[in-house]
Amino acid sequence: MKRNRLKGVNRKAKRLEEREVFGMGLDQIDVIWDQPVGCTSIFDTGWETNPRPATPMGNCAPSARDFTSCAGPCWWPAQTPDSMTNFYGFQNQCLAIERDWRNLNFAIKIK
Amino acid sequence: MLTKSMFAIALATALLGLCVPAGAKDFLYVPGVNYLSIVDCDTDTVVKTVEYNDYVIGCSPSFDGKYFYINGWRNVYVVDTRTDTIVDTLTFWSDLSRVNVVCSPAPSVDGNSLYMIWSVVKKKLNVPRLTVPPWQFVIYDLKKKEVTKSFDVPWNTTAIIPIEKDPEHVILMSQDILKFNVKTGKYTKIKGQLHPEEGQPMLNNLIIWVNWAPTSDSGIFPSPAYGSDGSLTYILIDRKTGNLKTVTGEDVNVYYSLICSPDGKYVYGCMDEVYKVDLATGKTVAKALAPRGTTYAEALTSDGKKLYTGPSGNDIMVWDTATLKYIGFIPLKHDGIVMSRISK
Repeated sequence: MKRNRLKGVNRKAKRLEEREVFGMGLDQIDVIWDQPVGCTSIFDTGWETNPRPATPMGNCAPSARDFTSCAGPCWWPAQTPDSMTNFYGFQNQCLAIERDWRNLNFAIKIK
Repeated sequence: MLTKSMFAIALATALLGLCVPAGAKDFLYVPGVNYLSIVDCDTDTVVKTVEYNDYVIGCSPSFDGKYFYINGWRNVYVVDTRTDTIVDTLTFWSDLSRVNVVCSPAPSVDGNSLYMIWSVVKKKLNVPRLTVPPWQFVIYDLKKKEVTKSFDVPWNTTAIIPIEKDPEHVILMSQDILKFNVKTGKYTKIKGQLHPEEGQPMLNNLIIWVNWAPTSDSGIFPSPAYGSDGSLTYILIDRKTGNLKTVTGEDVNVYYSLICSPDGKYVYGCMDEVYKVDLATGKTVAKALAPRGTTYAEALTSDGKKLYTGPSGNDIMVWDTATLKYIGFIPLKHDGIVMSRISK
């Protein structure tokens, strides 16, 4: 039997129907689905890994050139500062990562 | 007969004039970390830098080339290309309404509006919860300086292609490729990627770079789509009509982005290498390793003779399009991921 979803009838109940993010808990499916989780059409980050038979083998080379562009909504947020929210403005520490990477020993959170 | 020939010559001259303004020079506009670098394509040197404080993720020239729009996650900067100065800064982020401008903004064909995709998170004051609506297609009126309309669009809509002959519609590059009505917000799928047509493979496509120029452009937006069956499909969208065509690649080259030659016969792709592919056959006709490393965006000179790939790190590589011979690189003071060519 098809189960109909309950619908709020007053303002307070309708507010509860909003999709809300209470944290980043894995049990909250909306968090996973609603966040911008990837750039590609089927969320397969790392798709460009290129098994070349010769140099450069593997992924993009040199990888430092990819560092700042990976500071967005996807790719490797654990390894790079999240420039969207948490470390907005971190780029002031290094204009060019290949040259200025020593300045990024620690990303400084700027409010 | 002579009159007819003269008329034909006059018409051809007038049309060419529309393509390349008389005496116009090519410049690369390369917005990156905290600086916009402007490169003279005759000398391949940076002739001006414009300072701001942002990490830039997207850019687009206006159709008349008079303005250049660049955006970070929270702001859009309007550059007047006649003076090469920032004439306006549009800020959309506030602590309670966290707006991220997801991809490159796209100016409308008439130049009056700016189309953007927004990812929005709304915070309620003193309440530890956030509301995350669907991504929004936003129409920003550049004269009124306000958002006049917004519509829900699918997640991961990352590029907007205005259609020159049909200003009511744009093509949205999303999980699937959509034809979107900017007046009603309704859209139809014109090509499945995440939801392919029956019997077709799923396509994976990183659609961030819309490499185009206001003049001497092929009029084609090319995009590489990688199939779950190991194939490579070149998706070619006619920017004038919105018509979509596909070409199957003979080789599965790996690209971040593509650009078509002005005559539409070849496509150039970049990532760790550069490639030249014949669009009539899908065959790779030339390739070369990029000696400076990964690059993201591409631009061509008006005559189609020089190809620029970059930035990514703090440089742009220069190539001869006939042979794909590496000519050299242009050093920049900053990293970046996008660029455009403007002739003026």
